[in-house]
Amino acid sequence: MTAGGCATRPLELLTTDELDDIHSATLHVLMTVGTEFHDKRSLAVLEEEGAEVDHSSRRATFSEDLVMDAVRNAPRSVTLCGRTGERDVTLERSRVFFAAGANALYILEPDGRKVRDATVEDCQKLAHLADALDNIHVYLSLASPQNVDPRGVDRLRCAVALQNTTKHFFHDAQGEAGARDQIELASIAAGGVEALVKRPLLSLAPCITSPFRWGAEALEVLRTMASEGLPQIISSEPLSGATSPVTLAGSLVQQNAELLSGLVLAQSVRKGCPVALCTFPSVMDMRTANIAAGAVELGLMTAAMAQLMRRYKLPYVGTGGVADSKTTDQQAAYEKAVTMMLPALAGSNLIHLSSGMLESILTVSYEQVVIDNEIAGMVLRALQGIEVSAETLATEVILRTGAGGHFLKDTHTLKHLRREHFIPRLTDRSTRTAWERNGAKDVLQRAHDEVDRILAEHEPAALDRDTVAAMNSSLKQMLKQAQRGKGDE
Amino acid sequence: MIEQILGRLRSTVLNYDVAGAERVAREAAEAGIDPLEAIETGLTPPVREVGELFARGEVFLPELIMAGEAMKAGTAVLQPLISKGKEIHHKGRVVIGTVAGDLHDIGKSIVVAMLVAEGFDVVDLGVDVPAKRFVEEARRLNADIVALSALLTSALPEMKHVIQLLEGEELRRAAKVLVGGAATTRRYAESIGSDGWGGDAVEAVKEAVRLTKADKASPLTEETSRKRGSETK
Repeated sequence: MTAGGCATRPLELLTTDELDDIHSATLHVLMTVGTEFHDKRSLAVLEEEGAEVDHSSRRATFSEDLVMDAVRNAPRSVTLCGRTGERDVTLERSRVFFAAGANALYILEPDGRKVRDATVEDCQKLAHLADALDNIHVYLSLASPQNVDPRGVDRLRCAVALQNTTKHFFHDAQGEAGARDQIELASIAAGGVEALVKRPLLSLAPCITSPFRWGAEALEVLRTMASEGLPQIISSEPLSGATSPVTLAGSLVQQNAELLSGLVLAQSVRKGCPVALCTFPSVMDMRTANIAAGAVELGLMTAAMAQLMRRYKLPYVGTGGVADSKTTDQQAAYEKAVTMMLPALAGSNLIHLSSGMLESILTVSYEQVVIDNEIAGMVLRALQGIEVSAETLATEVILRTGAGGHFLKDTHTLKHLRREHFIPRLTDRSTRTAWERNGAKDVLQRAHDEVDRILAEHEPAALDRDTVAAMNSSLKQMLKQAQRGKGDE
Repeated sequence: MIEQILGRLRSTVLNYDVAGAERVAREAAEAGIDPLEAIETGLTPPVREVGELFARGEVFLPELIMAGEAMKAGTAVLQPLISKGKEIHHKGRVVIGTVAGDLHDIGKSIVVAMLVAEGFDVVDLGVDVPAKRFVEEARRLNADIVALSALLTSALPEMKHVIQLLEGEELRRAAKVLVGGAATTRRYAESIGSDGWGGDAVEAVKEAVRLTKADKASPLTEETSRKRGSETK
């Protein structure tokens, strides 16, 4: 099992009464406003399950029983498998992991000033890079290639990820066809559909269009994953003030209601199907109308949602480490540090979008990916907390060292050093003289060197040649099929 | 008396008072004020003023949107009273919507608010708008600009589809096309033959202004673009 962290005493932002209030408000909203489902089959499934459905407005409303049954029927933990067992990640209780991504359109050049369009080669290299980094436990495609037809690009990103990293791949899909094709690609990598269901290398994330509207494509993905029994990550991504209330509590009520409406559908399609609930709760910057995803409010809402989901005993995927800064600067660093720490302290099971993202999630920087890996390392160290035991209180050691001595030659130091102190890779702690001797490089330059080193030295475990050939030949057919149709006339 | 009512009308917009704007617009109509004058001196200038304050970062988006709503409420009262042959002066008519297959509303709605503040006549077709509807409305309303929004990558081909339909209906010369939304890039806008690309709402408005000023078909130009590395290739 891969090394994540665990919030042993998770941060509790909200009191029990406040959680109750959010829960009751959520049920009230689900009973009265409900959610729109722009897909006839979803509405039919929900109606059969006992939801109140108005077909003309495509709206379903839910009773408390229906919602809480879905909560009870959903598994309490979801395992996202890597190609090998040691890369498996189990989302449950207050365990914490980090996930990369996702789908940036642009690549920030190493000078930190210019951007260029992401290419297929970038997708390969970024997966390769992420494969080597310890604190990226789950992979999301860090970039989406711009030099290809957008139709079917989800299949392309999927094949690239499966071939260039052995980490679990968490992705999105263009409707049912996109989901089915990616399941096929992942089955080829896993050695058949049954093997894939047993050890899912792929999870897909259907996302609601806030406020309260499920689009057809997302619902197709949701139904497909549920019926196949493959893990899915049901997502809500509102902008507070624009697509959800400006008050954080109100936004939480909406996020919760949106997620639970999706959960009801998933559990209606197939009782017990694996689901994690996910939020990406940003705010709208009211001066520019832009998304603010590096906002401290994102950290607060994610932390609160982690607490709420733990109450439901549902696995939760939060968001952290997205920067609105355009470049790898101090703004990026503080946005990332704050928004990674809060969800982690609260015990979010997976903190996604936490690698490399700049300009909200439009741009990715190779250098930032390795810098964020270091921030995640510090956060995971913080989660370990301070162990207090006879051994760590070290009274014996203190006694035998005495006043005026030092601890460097004590075996106790040797024994505990690596666990007690986080040893950073990129952070510079040298003297100025040494720093100058090494070229007076700032963290961005050091990160650039590290990217070069990893890409040159690290070799992701490859799929065997026949598997790759089979996957590529399927992919070719899939792209042909996806690219047929509208826009081509 | 007239000045006093027009002054109050302006205040309603500056105070984001939607109900007030409707009420004072009725007063203006009852007092026999020329409806066109009431709109063009009592409702449009304060929205522009709020737009400028927004551009300077002194007021925020909800205020800009509510000022626009107040103007709309007042205009709704006064517009039917405008005598035949006269028309509200505007910078151009924009038919806008989120393309079929995409339900995302907010980015497009922000662009609408900012276009209104800029002095455009904007007809918002909403979300998940079929290509045919863009074409029909562009023809019916004699649109200067057809503006297409998308957030989902999977909805991008639909933009091309709209442009192709406009071409098929020979509306391409009459109406310029402006695309935008998080899924779009300048390169994509160029590749489908769009006349403009709005990387964000502010730019979309700048592009709309440029497109209404430009004669005939003017391609996407360097100076209006975001300075992306790829553009120099």
